[in-house]
Amino acid sequence: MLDDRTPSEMLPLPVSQLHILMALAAGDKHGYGIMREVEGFTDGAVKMGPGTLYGAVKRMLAAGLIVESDERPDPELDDERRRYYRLTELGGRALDAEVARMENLARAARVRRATAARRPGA
Amino acid sequence: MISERIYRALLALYPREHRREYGELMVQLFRDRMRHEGGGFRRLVVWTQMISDLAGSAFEEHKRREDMRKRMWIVAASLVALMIVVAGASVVLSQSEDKVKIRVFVQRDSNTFSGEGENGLSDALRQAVEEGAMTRESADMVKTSFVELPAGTALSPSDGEMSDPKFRAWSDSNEFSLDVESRDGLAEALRQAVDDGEISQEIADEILTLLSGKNTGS
Repeated sequence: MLDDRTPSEMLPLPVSQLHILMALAAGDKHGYGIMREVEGFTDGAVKMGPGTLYGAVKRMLAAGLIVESDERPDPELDDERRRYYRLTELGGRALDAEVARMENLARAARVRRATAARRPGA
Repeated sequence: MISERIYRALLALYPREHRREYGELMVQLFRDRMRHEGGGFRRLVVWTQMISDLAGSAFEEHKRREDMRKRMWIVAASLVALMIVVAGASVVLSQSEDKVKIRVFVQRDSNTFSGEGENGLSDALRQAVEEGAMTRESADMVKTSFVELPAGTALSPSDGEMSDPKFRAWSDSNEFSLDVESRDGLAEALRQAVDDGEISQEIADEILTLLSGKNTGS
């Protein structure tokens, strides 16, 4: 059963789901592809384990943030048992909303730091 | 590959439906990761990460299971129901403790003396003696006749005061009352009340217990 929440109601997204949405924003990927992508854009800081990754995938499928994809980027070189995942339109909007939320948060943090720096004795 | 076999065995920690749906994909990912990392110390590091990932995510999956939630709800609902039953039973029992009341009346001339509860007869007789309506000997005789002598004991004509006292037993919750003039009469009236369904046998027994020798003798 699909989740009927709007993207803003899903925020904040769990970090693992944000990472998967980011990985799939660049194109369809299977589990290991997602893991490598996440490792890449976090400079190796995040290595998603199978349990975390597929637990998140299960919940994202249920929420309609991603779907399984039938298309295979390179069927000749690929193991047909692998499952590929694709970002949905809802998933894309959830990613945008989460990024906007984080930008606002980052802006608020910068303002607070700047205010603190101008305070006498700081 | 031994590592893969061990990892596959460890998947037993996940709920069955999760394992069925994602087990093979997880093993595949584990295999890819091991192949990518190479051997030696790096594999050891991967294993540590895998164990940590497995423990956290397996717990999470069990926590989220729908039937587990249902079971928790059933347990919680059962506990609440049990608490309601216990609370209800406590209220009923606490009410039953004082639902039967007995008042004893001793009438002399135009004066009526009364006492309530276990020591009702003694209290009523003491009042009668203190007010000069009855001698202490008569009071002792009345008490003896109602308390110590077996029911139905024939009394001599000189014990003419035996028509007193009168007993009245009642209960608010059971809406009944009995007015009798002797212990024999009380026993008979109680028996009748039980037969008529006005009071339970337990209440009848309780009334008679209240009038037992020890309780009324003080």
